[in-house]
Amino acid sequence: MWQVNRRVEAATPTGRAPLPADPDLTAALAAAQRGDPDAFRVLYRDTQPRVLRYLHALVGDDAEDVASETWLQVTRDLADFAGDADGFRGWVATIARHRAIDHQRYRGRRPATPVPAEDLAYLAAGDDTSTLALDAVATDAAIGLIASLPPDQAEAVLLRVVLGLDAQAAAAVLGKRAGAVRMAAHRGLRTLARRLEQAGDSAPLAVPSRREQLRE
Amino acid sequence: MSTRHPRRIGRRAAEQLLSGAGGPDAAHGRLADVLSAAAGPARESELGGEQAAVAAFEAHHLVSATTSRRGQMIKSPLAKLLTVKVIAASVAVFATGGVALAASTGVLTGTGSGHPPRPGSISRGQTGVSVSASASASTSVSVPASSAPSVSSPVSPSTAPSNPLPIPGTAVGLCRALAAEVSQGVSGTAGLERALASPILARLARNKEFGSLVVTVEAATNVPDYCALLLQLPALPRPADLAQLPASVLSSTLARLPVGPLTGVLTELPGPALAQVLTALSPSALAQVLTALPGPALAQVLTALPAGSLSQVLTGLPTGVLVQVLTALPASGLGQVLTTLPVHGLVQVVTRLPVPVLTHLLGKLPTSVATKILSRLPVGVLSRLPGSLLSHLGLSGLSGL
Repeated sequence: MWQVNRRVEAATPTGRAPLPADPDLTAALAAAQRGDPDAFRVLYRDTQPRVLRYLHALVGDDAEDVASETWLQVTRDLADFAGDADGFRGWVATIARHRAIDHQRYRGRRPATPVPAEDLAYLAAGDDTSTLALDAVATDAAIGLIASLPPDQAEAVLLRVVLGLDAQAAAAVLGKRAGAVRMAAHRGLRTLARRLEQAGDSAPLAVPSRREQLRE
Repeated sequence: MSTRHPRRIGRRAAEQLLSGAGGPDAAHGRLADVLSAAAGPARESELGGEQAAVAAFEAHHLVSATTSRRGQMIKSPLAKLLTVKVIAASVAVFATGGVALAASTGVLTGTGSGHPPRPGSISRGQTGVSVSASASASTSVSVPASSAPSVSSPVSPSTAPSNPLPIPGTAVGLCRALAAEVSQGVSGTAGLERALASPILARLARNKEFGSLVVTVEAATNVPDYCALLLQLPALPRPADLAQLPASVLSSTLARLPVGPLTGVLTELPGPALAQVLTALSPSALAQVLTALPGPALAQVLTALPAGSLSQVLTGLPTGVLVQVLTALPASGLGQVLTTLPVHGLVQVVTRLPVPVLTHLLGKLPTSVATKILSRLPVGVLSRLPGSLLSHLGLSGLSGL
């Protein structure tokens, strides 16, 4: 009954395909609340990858474990949730965050794993006008790079960019004022830009071989 | 490469980048690309937990459907059996998180028509406790007819019959299913402990569907303890036999236990078993276990060890962990430990500890005990201890020994 399709977000040269507030998802949400498992599947397919990437910054390799706990709670409390698809993503992110905090591997203030040099080179190579090949390598490298930011910056950026939340919604997830979250996100972007810049300057001209191989 | 001086990202540009709107400013195109990549399409690997999540969702709603009122007992024995199995399945697949889940299908019928198990969906076994010891990437579990002895007629879920619920493939799930077979409707820590302690459990564990459990722990008789650890129960069915578990399994399960169950498990082990268990642990697991224990429990554990094992355990610890462990001990336990240590172990400990730590530790002890401990040290070691330490403890008389 429900169209279960994997949406491939095409990268356009003019900018990122926006993360939509899909009318399909809002309708799926309503059906899932009534117990429709196929509708739940639609929600899961849209939300879980985002949640995993967010959790990676919080609990590293335990992201899958924490995500499982998150969905258990989502299933349990779904009937009581009120809101649209955007609100749903924020709600799930909040649950995920709480589960992560309870988890023994919660990073808190501890430093994150550093980004492997070749990932950074992959992201940084080329000039500003060529588009990065949006492959899985780039995704993992990008998430790793963002996750290496200081925790509050990483969270702010991930909630905006990957969870697709607006500034207010992201602030609600973090339990902070919108202004503070904005500042953290902007700082995060500046740090990212600087790191890409430094990596780009020092990268050898032959890099990245991986990209060349994948570009068929 | 040319040196670039990129424009500092202003508020408006930042907001544009964060919301993915508008064309990229040329100076920030690379960053925009990176953000696009972060928000890139879903990968197969990120949806590995989908089957389990949907199964749990269905199970949750099935339970709601079969209970007419919240908390009311389910009257029909068939429905009750179904609910228990479904809850066990749905809870279990989550308990260890997205570990290898074999999405084998089988309708929960009592007739046991041989449904061939479907090979597992995307499985990743990356937790310390996994069933991957038995199969490298996937475990398939077949639906046994023998597991539903009281069901005489086919039971079908109230959801569409074409969507059968999967049998748990994770180790924790299997443990719960096993306990449920011993006593239906088992719940809570006490109930699980009783079920796992049942004499018929080892026999049930030999059923085909629990094969992966048995392979992991190498013998059906090890399954009760293994399951108790996985389910994080504070009491073991067979504490004296815990050391029979393979070392790697011991290391991973004990290191993952929360403090409460860990304390319960270790303090109930008899001395020889405790010694075997601790010396079998990997160094990191041992360090984690010892530093997790609160002082009194730690004292109980260490003083239960025979002298030789105590020495082996303590001298094998990295210095930092050794310091942590010894300073965590209450005075009486510390005194006992240092008095019990054979001389060579005592020498090792004393010479590895930083002087301030040693001073602090000895200062916690009654003078008579501290004197006795120090007087066991060979003269060569004793004379190397700073005079300041000895006089600080009022033990300057020892320097003449």
